[in-house]
Amino acid sequence: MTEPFETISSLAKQLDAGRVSSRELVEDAIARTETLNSALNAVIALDKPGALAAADKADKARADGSTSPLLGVPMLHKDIFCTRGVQTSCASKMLADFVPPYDATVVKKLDAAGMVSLGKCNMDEFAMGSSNETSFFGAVKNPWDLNRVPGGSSGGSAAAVAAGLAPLATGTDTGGSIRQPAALCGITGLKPTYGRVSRYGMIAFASSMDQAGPMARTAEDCALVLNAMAGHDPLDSTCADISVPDYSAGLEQSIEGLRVGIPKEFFSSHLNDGVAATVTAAIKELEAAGAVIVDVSLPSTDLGVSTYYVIAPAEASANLSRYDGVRYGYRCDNPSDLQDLYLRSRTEGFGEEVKRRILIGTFTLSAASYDQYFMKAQQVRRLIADEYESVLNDVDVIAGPSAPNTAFVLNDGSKSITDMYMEDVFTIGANLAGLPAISVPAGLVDGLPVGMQLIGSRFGEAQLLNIAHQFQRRTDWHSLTPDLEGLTG
Amino acid sequence: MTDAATVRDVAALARLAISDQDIENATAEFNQTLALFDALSSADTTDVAPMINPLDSAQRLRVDSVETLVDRAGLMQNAPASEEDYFLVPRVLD
Amino acid sequence: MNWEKVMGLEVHLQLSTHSKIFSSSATAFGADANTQTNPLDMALPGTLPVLNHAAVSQAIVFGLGVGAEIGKVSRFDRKNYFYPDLPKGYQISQFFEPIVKEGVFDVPLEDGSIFPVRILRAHLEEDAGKSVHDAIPGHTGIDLNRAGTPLLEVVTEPDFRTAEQVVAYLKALHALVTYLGISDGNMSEGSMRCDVNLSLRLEGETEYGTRTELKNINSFRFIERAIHVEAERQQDLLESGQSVVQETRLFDPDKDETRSMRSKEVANDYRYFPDPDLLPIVIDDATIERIRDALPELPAVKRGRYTTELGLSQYDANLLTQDRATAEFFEACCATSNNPKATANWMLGDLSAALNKEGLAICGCKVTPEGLGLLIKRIDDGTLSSKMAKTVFEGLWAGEPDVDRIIEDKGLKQVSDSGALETIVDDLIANNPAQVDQYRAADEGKQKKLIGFFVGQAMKASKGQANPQLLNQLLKQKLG
Repeated sequence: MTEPFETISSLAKQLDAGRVSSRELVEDAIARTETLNSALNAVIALDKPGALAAADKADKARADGSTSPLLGVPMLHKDIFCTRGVQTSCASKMLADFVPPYDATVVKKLDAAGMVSLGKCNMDEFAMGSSNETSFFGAVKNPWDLNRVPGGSSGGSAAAVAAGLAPLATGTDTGGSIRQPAALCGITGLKPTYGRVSRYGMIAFASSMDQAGPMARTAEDCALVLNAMAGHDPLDSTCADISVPDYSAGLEQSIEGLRVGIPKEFFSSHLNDGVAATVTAAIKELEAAGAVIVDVSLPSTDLGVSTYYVIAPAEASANLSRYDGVRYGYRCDNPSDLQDLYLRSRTEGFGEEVKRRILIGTFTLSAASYDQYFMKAQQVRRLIADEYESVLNDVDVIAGPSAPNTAFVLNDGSKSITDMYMEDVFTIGANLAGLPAISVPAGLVDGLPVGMQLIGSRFGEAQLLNIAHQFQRRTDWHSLTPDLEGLTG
Repeated sequence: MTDAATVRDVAALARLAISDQDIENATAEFNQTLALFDALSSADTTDVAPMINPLDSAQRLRVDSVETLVDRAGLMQNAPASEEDYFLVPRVLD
Repeated sequence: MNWEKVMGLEVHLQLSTHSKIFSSSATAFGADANTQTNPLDMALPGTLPVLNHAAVSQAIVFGLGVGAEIGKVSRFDRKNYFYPDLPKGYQISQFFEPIVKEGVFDVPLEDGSIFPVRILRAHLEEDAGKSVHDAIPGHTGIDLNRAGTPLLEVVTEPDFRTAEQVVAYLKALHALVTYLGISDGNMSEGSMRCDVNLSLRLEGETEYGTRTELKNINSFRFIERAIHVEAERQQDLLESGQSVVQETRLFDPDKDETRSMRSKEVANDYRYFPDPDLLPIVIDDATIERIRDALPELPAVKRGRYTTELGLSQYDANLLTQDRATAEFFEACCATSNNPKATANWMLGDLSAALNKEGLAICGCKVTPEGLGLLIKRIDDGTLSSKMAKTVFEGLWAGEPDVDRIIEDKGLKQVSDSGALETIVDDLIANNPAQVDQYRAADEGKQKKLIGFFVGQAMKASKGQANPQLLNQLLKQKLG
């Protein structure tokens, strides 16, 4: 059996040296998934024949002289990405039987790079949630503590990578859905600039904020994968036609003299003390590497939550109107008429959190509320984006915690809906402003991982990855792994 | 504050059903969320342009050419009810 | 009490693009159900709209054609409602910032006058699919071939007072878009659909009454009738003290009535908001100028040129410019005939009658413009009399291609040879001494009547081919 917690860059070297084949890696990954998944519930579709065929193809390509750094490396996709011929459910009853006749651009690009998709990861239904408890297929468990959530919405992806099922899983981030679960599961997750990665074939939640990104063990691996994921797509009007740099090229640069801004609002009352201390220590580490630490202010941070929870559900309410039981997806039994078909298919097909957000979004867009809520939120959004821009004129990156707390316990009835929404308070700003941001493991509090978030300027992924990589050269928080014995036992 | 009748109207617009036993709870949740939104009114947005999309660029245009990405069989493979190449819904009367 | 109708129009024009507005599916009419579709047209999850360049250009062409301001920055919005032929549950349209803003469109009326219609706006949007109610028993079938076809919705101010004005506007709009080549304007295939907003008010009143919207009237024939029927319905309501309900109504030509559209009666709130999947359309001045330079001559300009340069009446100019095909036929015909007035007379007379008789449009005309042009030229050069020309025209219509050949074959050539006519006249004078004496003795007034005898005899002798002017001249000379 191959070692579970390998990085992509290490596997690439072993594959290149012929010490291991893609087929072995894929067979082992499948075996591990079959063993561990009953405890984690991180994977909701395994495509064994497809994965083995792709592995054989990759091995043949390598034998024929191909040396792509991702060739033959196993990975998982969040079940929000359409995969031709493979279930794509968005973790919803609505799409439980949906088999797309096309691939998402992200899927196509990673396939083209030779990566081998093992299957699909669990997630919050339609990416709406911060705990992965809203999935139609049940909650995902955090591999560090099975009684705790992995975060969300890309909770399955984070748990899978953290448990060593694969060195990479794709995620999507609308309000923190890559960074927060990456933080809670102790892995590295990058949300690129809005428009860096194509959204085609990625099931829409909030169109002006959704962005796909890599979730891996290290910043170095994220760079390798972003090289393949990013770039212009004629099928997405909001995918920027800006050339893709080699994100791996600048990783080793010194960060001496780089200015790192610490917003005081990120260390507010929302923040758990242990998390605060851990992130502060991590920032000290950046300083030790030569970075200049600067106090900055993002005064509208708290307003971000209100802004986000107006805009995202509003966009979602329209994006989810297509699920009407007519062309695909769940359809109620024996509809008596058209309205019955709509009403029952949607009411039975969507889960509670999704319905809650559709309702709120429908309300804020209605004629009577549009100006007060939707328009106002879009204006406040600009204020927030302007605050970030002006801070980023002064500093190279912004640093702070990825999430206010470590992983919380499953089914925590004490958390109200709006408490849950506050989980996203530090991550939402980057989505509202369309900025790139990364979460890197920064330590443990009571045995649970903590993430440090770095937010950069538009299309400044290379710099974020450089700083994250330099941090990871000086620390080994990203090398810590949960105890798998506990998972099988 | 929003009342149950408004929540019912909104649900009807969204084609979602809320049962009588759930309406009270749904209305309470609705108001809890709206209370969170009320913070927005504290922001001075005079002369601030809304930000619809963070990408500060113009719409890219596609060349007017015809291409079929997926055939009809593929596109209709997930249809819950279809016949003679049509999707079926209960009869709609004008 | 005299009631005045107040009407504003919303016309949906299907643009002539090859592919749909947001996807690369074909737009041709009449294909098998659900074959002209891509994942986007089915609203499959994760699909995204990408705007068709041609739809934008054609909208700009239209805007320039009606002298409207072009929106330098326009946007798309989502209009939310559930209907089975609307796969996304929202229609992408332009609600807040349309691509074409205000303009004035001059509409020629029957009497030759010009009726200026204020265009409020024109915006791009996507068409819905089709609900088919008769294909599968007990069900409605959904065909999404039409879903996503680019439409330009042209909205006017409430400037219309009569059905005739409405029809004249629609005809002029049809002419304009076919001239511009941005729509085939085919009403029966739904390429041009008209909604009429109609209200009544007492003459002299300045406030508008409550209006109803008459949806999708798909032929010129039905428009006048629909307006008449709906105005009568509203008048009956108002005169019996009831009020008009603001609603959408459908004209049923079979029952000759309008009725409320029940399915859309549910009060809706369309929740328009800017579509986050599409960025603003930004149009610079250079693009507008480039498109302006490439515009064909517009009907209004043509009308002006026909009256001032070609000397046609306003009435004839209006008729000849009512569609591009007619104007092109006219201009091609003139190129050969070199006689615009005679060409206009032939086209609006014999040619129009022949077309009407067989129910043909100008594009189905059996006579070529060159053929008719040469025919007119042969009249002008004296080869044909107007009577003989009609025979030649019949020959052309019957499919004989060559004017000169017809003249030759049927022996229709007019005798304009003065030598040949002189012989005939000399013979006449020699053989009819009594009539000659009578003529010579008569006064001028009587002579005019008496000369008819000689003309008739000469025509008879020439088998009708004598050039009448020349004959008259010779007779007067020899008898006098």
